[in-house]
Amino acid sequence: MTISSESIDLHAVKSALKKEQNKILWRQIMTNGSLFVGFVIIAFLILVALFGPLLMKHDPNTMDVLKRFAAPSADHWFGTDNLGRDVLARVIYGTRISMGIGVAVAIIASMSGLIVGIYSSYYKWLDHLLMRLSDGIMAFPGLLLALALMAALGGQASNVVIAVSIVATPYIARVVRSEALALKEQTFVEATRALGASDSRIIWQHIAPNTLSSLIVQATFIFAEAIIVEAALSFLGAGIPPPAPSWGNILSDGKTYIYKAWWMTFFPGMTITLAIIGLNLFGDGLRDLLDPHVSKAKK
Amino acid sequence: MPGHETATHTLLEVKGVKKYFPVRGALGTTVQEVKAVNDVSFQLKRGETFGIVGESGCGKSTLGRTILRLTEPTAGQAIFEGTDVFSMDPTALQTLRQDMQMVFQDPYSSLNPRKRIGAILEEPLNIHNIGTPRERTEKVLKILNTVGLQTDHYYRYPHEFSGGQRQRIGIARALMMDPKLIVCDEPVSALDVSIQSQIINLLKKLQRELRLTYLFIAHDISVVRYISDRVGVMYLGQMVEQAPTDAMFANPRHPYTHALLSSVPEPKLHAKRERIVLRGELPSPLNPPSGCVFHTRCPMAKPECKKMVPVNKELSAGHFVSCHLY
Amino acid sequence: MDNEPILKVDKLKTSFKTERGKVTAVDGVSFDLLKGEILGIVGESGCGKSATAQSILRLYDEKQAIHEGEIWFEGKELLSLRPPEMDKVRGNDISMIFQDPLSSLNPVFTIGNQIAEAILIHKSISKREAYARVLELLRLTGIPAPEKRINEYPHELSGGMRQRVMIAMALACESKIMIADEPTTALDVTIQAQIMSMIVELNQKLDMGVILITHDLGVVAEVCTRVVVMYLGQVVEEADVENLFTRPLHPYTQGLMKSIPQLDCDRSKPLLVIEGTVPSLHQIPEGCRFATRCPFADDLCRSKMPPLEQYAPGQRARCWHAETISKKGEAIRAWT
Repeated sequence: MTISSESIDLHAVKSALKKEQNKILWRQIMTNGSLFVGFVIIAFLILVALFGPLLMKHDPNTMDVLKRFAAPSADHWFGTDNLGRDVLARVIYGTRISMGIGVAVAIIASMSGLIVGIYSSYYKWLDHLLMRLSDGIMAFPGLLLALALMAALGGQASNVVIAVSIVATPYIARVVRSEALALKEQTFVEATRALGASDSRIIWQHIAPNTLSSLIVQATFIFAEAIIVEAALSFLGAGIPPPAPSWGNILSDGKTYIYKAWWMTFFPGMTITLAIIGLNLFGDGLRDLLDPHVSKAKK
Repeated sequence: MPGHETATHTLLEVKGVKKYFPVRGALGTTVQEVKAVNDVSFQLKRGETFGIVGESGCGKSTLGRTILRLTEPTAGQAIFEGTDVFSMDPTALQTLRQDMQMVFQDPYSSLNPRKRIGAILEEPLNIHNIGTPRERTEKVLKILNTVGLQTDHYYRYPHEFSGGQRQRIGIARALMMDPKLIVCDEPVSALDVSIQSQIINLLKKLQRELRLTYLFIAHDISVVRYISDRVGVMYLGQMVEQAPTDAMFANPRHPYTHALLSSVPEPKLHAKRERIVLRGELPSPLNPPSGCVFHTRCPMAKPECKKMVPVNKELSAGHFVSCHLY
Repeated sequence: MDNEPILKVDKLKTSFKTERGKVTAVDGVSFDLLKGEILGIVGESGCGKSATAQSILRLYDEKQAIHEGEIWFEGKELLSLRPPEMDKVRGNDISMIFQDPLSSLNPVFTIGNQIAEAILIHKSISKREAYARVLELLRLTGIPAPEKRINEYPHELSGGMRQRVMIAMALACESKIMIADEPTTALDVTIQAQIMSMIVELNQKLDMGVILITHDLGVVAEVCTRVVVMYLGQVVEEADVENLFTRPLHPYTQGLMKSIPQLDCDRSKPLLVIEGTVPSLHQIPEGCRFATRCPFADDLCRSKMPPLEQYAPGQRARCWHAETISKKGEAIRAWT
């Protein structure tokens, strides 16, 4: 048993096995309807957010007073609004803003939720402290709390992200905490302690990775929620300051003219709906994909 | 033969170990205590297997965990090669972990489902900074081989293995740091009968080849008898009898041991022994009986059994019993 | 004792639809339960013994499980009964007790309530009569102070007590057959001894047939009159308990018996090992299903499935070489 031949064997084995495991994973992904459709929708929206503005003929802020309230036409696919701005261009730029906020909130809330959740599950005194704090935050209806925070912080995109993340964190923390509590009782955690592992090693290398599947699924739903909350905040005038074309702002502009210019609310509304459907489908599909993988570990 | 030279050297001496679990009342104060392990003493010699049997609630699993300090002891000492494990500071304890390892009962939850086998097995070496990365990988491959698994298992996940194979991985993990003592906590109970013999044979083989010492905790009396050099019987947190295996089974002294051995169903015909039926139910460990813990169910109970705790006496070489009959 | 079978299972096949294809957990199992006997069904996980029991009582959701074959009980073919008719049989004529009594009992109802329910579902008698019967049953199953226990909840009882309650429920309607699925696996050995002796007593006193499902050959030796050994969904041996232990025909049975450490075995000899593992039900091998692990297997075994043949009076085995293996006593040594 020479050293070098073992290492060579190992690499070949590794790549062969990885290929095999990837094939299985690919098959699981391809047969998962919700995941596929959800992914297509979100990918589409992301592409729109990234490249849409480059392909736009019209500028979202250019006001053409002569062409106010123009119905959808060849030149203006989504029509124009009360100030003659092209609704399509506004919706597309809005995608960038709203999706951007959604992603930012999902990421920030996930990270803070993960930390809060994991440490709560591991240290009892911390658990009492953090969970009471979370209870406090969750006691407020999300939108009202976000509104209050925005009033305190001031109307800016970055503050929207902060406010919504604060509202969303407890939900993720809860999910992570309950997974982590169950994991903590698993024999492999005790076994790792018996090996001499430190608390932080156990927390970050053993417990946290096993909470990721639930976390990711929850994060996609938070993404969807963030879009809705941002839209609501902007709609109420407490979110992204106009004239920035966030979906909420566009809806807000259109609310007075629903009968006169239905396209001003219809198209942003449909886009929001599409985004939420896509995210929910993706989240559902992801949950189905990740759960059976974990449950295969059980008998 | 390799084992015999060190056979008389005491590796572990357990003295008066107690582990009580507090039951908290409404305001967080301790209202009662579950006396899971209640004054247990025994000695374990290098290279031997000490089996511990008992029924549910006897405290044998808790005893194993307490000795390894996976749970903090309430009282007593566990002297491992001259040093008391219970009074070590965290750093010394961490180093000691390399010498005392555990094999767990449930093969399905004892391995992290998200880690590959290679990573799981290298972890102990990583934690204690043993060897270079290459040396660690080699050691893993060597140990995989020793427990009867193959090289390509290095990159697989636990869910790809059967119960018996997972248990082998658990044993491999315990072997990674070349421990002296391995506590086996019901290592074959969760496995199918036809696989149990594979694992038992493996454990015996490893003991011979690597000069291991086992504390073998199980409820299956036939298995414990087969693998152990000495056996201890536990009831409600106490060790009521301990003896060399052959002596214990040929001549059980304690009434509980007698009853226990007579209840084991044997896979052969006309094995009808006098079955000793115990009256009553197992008392709660929250409130163990006074005097001898077994007196409430003992067919030979005398008045003094209720009042006085029996002294642990050595009846013949290495055969200890705690009972007023002697 | 009559030689009339009170239950006749004929070529029972139970398959499940899973995401990885169709899985046949019980594949052509046939056996009879004679009046007053205790029949043991032995095997390890995946052999289909529990699935067989659940199929007899049709406990599976029949959108997921497909049954084939016939099960005859008192002139009725159970698999073709309509659900309401099957409901009348379940718990009434044929009852079942399970492995884990804690999860089989409803935690929010008293045990008296649950046993009474078992009676009232099938018999139209008054509540008072039902409760009187409950007390009688508790006494029959050896539960001390039944008047007190009748109002207790499952969590207030020990494991052994709970299993007695389960048995009381099973006896509530004076069933003709009781199916016990690993009834003592979760219990301590001293309690196991009590429960098993109670089951034997009830079998004799009430002339109730018992199908005992277990993986423990010790229990089988002590309690059963006849035994069926299963492996990977099939019956591989069937015999009287005497013959099974003196002259097991099938290599699997022999291997099982030899690999269990017994209380008087030689501690210095290594245990016999049946190499390999049970194949997955998704990948059933060609030919004899035990060939992958059998020391006597040859090409015939690996290519053709042996039928269940009678090689001795009252003893059948599914093995091409059963006769030669049992004739040559030394062939057993091939195992070591």
